[in-house]
Amino acid sequence: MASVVKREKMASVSEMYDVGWEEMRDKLRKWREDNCRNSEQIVDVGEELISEHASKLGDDIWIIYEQVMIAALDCSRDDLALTCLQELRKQFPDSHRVKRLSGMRLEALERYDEANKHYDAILQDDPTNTAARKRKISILKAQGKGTEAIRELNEYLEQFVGDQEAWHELSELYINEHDYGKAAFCLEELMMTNPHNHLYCEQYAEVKYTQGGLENLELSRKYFAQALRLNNRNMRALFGLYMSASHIAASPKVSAKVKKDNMKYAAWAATQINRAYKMAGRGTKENKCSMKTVEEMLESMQITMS
Amino acid sequence: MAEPELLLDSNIRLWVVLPIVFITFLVGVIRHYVSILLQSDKKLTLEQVSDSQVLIRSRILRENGKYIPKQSFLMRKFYFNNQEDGFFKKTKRKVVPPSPMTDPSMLTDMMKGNVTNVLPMILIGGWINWTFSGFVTTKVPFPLTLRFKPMLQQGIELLSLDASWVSSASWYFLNVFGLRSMYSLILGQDNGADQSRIMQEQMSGAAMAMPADTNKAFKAEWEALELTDHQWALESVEEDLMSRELDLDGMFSKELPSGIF
Repeated sequence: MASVVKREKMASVSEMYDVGWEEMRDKLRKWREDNCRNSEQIVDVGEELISEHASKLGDDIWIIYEQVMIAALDCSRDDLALTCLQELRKQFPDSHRVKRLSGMRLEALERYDEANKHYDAILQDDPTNTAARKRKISILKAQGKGTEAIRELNEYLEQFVGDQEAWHELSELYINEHDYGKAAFCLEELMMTNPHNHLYCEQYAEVKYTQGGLENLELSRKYFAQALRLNNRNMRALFGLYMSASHIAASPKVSAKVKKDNMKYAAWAATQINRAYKMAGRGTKENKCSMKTVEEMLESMQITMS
Repeated sequence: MAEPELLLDSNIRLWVVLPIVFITFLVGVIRHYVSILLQSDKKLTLEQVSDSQVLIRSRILRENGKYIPKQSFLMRKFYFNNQEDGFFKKTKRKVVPPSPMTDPSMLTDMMKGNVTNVLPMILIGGWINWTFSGFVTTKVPFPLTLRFKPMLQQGIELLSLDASWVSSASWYFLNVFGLRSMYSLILGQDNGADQSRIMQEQMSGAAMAMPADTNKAFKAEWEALELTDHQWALESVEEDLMSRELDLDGMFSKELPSGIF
């Protein structure tokens, strides 16, 4: 009862932002293309679009139903998800894509066995269907069966070596299991297929840094530098460069030349960090104090080998 | 020698030239939609999909292997090319060359292609030739030799007529090829009305090896991978990076986006 009243009182999206239905539709399309997962926003915009302007959307409405349904599952809006699913089922009765959506709804309701049956049916009909296989792996992940999920995902990747989303998922699963070597392998695949993506370089460097050991630290420093070269503004990579360089410099096993080089790198990184904070604090009175804080932070991050 | 200018009846322009353009265009559009209706689904087997992806991965390894550490590159190269159990050495796929006689789906595809494209062209060409015969339709802007006369002046028995003057049948064929760009504009790329592209495909398809010949592809990939060396792109990355200050311009100047729009 309370939720119904609340919905009536809330202003519609079009009123709040003063936009027409075309802008809402274009925004949904942009979110689809960018693969954003802002489910609450999608539900707000999409629900209004399909309830008020369904006739004007034409054939776009089916893909919007799919997008809104998945977002609704994220937000626990089972009613909305069911409505969208029923519309899609009416229009595309034999579609594998719609069957996958029904499976996803069952997953959201935690009816995993039924969902598995759905996906098995799809796979029997079409063994090359990647979506169904990936959903089965997500079920294992949702049930907390990490090692089984890893095994299934490995089998999947043996067949479909080019699936980048799967490689990334596998690297995450390995990191959760603390198997950093294998996670690094997966990230290498991603780095090869996307050589200009600074985020993969940075993640790889972080994994290498976590693995530890002099060789891995050197590699991590190199890849942090590469991430910075690809994107000068990656602050995480900048801090990573500082940490890895100072870690190597503080290690007792290195030669004097390596120590000197790494201290030079660390010093350079520290200057850049200072510059960045200075730019961030431009125009505020606390600039001088915050600069001192940054200096202290950098000093405290120095690794001391005991 | 001064060329006597032929003055054509303007009715020819109205009742011959324009109708032929419309007919050709409409027939092309109809062909496009018919080809969509008759399209058969291509079902790929799991093995084919898997193999094509493996080949892509190996190619990426060759091209972008320089972005991963040397050890990793060698590990992957070993996996693919190892003498005893490297992937490319070990995997032999059963290859059945799909000749038109044995593979029924290819036969129906070829038939459909013929029916949709060649048949209408012949029929309509012949009909136009029969309907609009006996007069000259248009003049091509460049001079042609006499050898072209029998080809382009079907039905006009004038020995002294310049070869540049052509009959309606040749105007029809001119349209068929000329309207290709119009089809791209209206029906989008890769449309079923694009005859010359289809004929090109048929010609190159006969000369190209069958796509299912994965063994040859594997062998080619093995050779290419053997030849690749690892040139680490990150040798001097620190020097490159630290040669100048970081470009932090505009990093903090943008307003944070508020709300959805």
